[in-house]
Amino acid sequence: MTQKIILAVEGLKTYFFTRAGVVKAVDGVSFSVKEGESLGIAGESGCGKSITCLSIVRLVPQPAGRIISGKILFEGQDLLVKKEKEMRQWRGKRISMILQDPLTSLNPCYTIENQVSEPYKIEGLNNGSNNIRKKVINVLKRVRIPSPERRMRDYPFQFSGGMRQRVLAAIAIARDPRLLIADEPTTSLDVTIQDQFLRLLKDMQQQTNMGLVMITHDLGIVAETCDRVAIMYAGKIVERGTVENVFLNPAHPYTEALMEALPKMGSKRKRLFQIEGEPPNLLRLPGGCSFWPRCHKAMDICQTQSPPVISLKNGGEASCWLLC
Amino acid sequence: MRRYALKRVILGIITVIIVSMIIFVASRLSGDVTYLLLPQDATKEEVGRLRAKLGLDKPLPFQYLYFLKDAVRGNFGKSYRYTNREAMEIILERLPATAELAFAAFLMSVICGLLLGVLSATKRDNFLDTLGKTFALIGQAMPGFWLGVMAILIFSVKLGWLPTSGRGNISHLIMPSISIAWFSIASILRITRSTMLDVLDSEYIKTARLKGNSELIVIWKHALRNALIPVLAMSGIQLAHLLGGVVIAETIFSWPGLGSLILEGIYSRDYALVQAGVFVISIIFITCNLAVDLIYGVIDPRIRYD
Repeated sequence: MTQKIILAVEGLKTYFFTRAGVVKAVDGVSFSVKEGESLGIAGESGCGKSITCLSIVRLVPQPAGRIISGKILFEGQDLLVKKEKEMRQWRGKRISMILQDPLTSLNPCYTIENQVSEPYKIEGLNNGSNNIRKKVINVLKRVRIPSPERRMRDYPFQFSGGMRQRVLAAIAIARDPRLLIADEPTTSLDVTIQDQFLRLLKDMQQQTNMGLVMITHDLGIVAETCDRVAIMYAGKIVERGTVENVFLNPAHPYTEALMEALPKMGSKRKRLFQIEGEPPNLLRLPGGCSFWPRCHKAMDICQTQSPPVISLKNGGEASCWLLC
Repeated sequence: MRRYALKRVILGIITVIIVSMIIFVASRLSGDVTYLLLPQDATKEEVGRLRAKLGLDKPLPFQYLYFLKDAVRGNFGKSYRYTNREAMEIILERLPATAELAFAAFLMSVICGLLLGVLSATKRDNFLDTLGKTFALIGQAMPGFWLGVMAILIFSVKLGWLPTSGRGNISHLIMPSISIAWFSIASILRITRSTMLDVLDSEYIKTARLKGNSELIVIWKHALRNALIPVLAMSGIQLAHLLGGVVIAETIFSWPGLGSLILEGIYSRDYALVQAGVFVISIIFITCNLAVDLIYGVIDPRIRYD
């Protein structure tokens, strides 16, 4: 089965120019997503996951943040050369995004109906015989909001966190996008609600065959919902491959350490494994491989030269000197 | 919304009652009016007779009740200075002039402040923003009375473009209203700019942009409505400032309004006139603040459903 590639990111670099210096938030990231496929991007906080996503929709915080180089090919067209006006026609229609905090991501001053109907209004739909209202009710049903006819008249503050996240999902899928980016969509939800929401995302994906990029720091979520995974560290992707391969045979020492740190059922160990040290300050990255100060297998060359990207036998990729 | 509105209205009425007490007590604190009304060589009996006639011989709480009873009917007694005319009648005669000036200044501050504030926030750190910030700085640093005098010097005396004083057509309105409004414009501009900057950084603005909305809708629909609450609060405060500023501007520009009338009343201890005038201004002020409160409810559903 050959699936069409929807999104291909090539050598993306997004830097922040601050008074303290240049922060290389995203430093040469490449990955791709196919139709109907879900890709997980996992990493610690501040490793550049969210900025990668915001770069794709060209909403990097201005004026400090700037996309320096790279290509973002969406269905073959480079989004980075598009004008802002053109870009607007892609947002919401072809690429949608769910933000991480449902409590602050809806406008507190407008009703749910008002906010969910906006995508349809942008589409230029006319409101003959309550056309838009019907669409709003439909999409709210799709994200399983009970009695949408009544609830859509409410304001966001009358909704629970989980329900608000569903409303955001409804807004995101309203115009049937080809790609949905979910930026840690379950971080602020209860575990049970998390599970419901992830299942909802998977169902929606199966119905429409859209591509899904799931950003998370929770490897459990990756294992549960994704087909492929990219592990990010300090603005770079250090390893990528199918979820099975990466989880069972991690190639990069960082991935290996992450897997080691997962709690295991039936293990007698009392204390969980932990990666020593902290993620590096993006303003002052160590020379060579960014991970060497915390790496147990670091060699001399790791401290001076960045490792190349190595293709693995199982189809994945990793960048580490150990693999050379 | 109805419960919220009712609560606000009741609070407004309570405020009016408290204001009436303050006006009553404050005017009695300013000294004995009989010495002003009678010639210097008046006998004790004559003074006593006048005090009894004006009700000044009774204890203060009783005086207040009489005052309140009449005040409810709009009767604040006769002015001592404008002999034999009802104080309220004189006040209402002058009210339109003040209303015109205050309304012009208020409208100017809200519209200019809001517009410049939004533009300054959305065009952060470019020419417009710098212009806005400079304008605000100058406005906040200059007292209105000085600005008024300088304006007369430049535009009336030197250039002869605008009339120096009095009320008439729109050219008379320009200098007095600007000289009171500038400070308020600056305050509203600054608060609009800073709340807009906060709001524009929020997640729901990102959501609005992610939908593919144009900047016009993002700013004027999604951001502005959320930034309006602090701006409205500031407008309410500025209204008080404007009503105060009107007194000064009316004096400088000889504007035949309430402010200058009340000022004269204070100089001549014209109880009735001052009481009626301050009462009317207070009512206007309380009504405007009530309106501000009600608008809060319209703008932000969280307030209305509280």
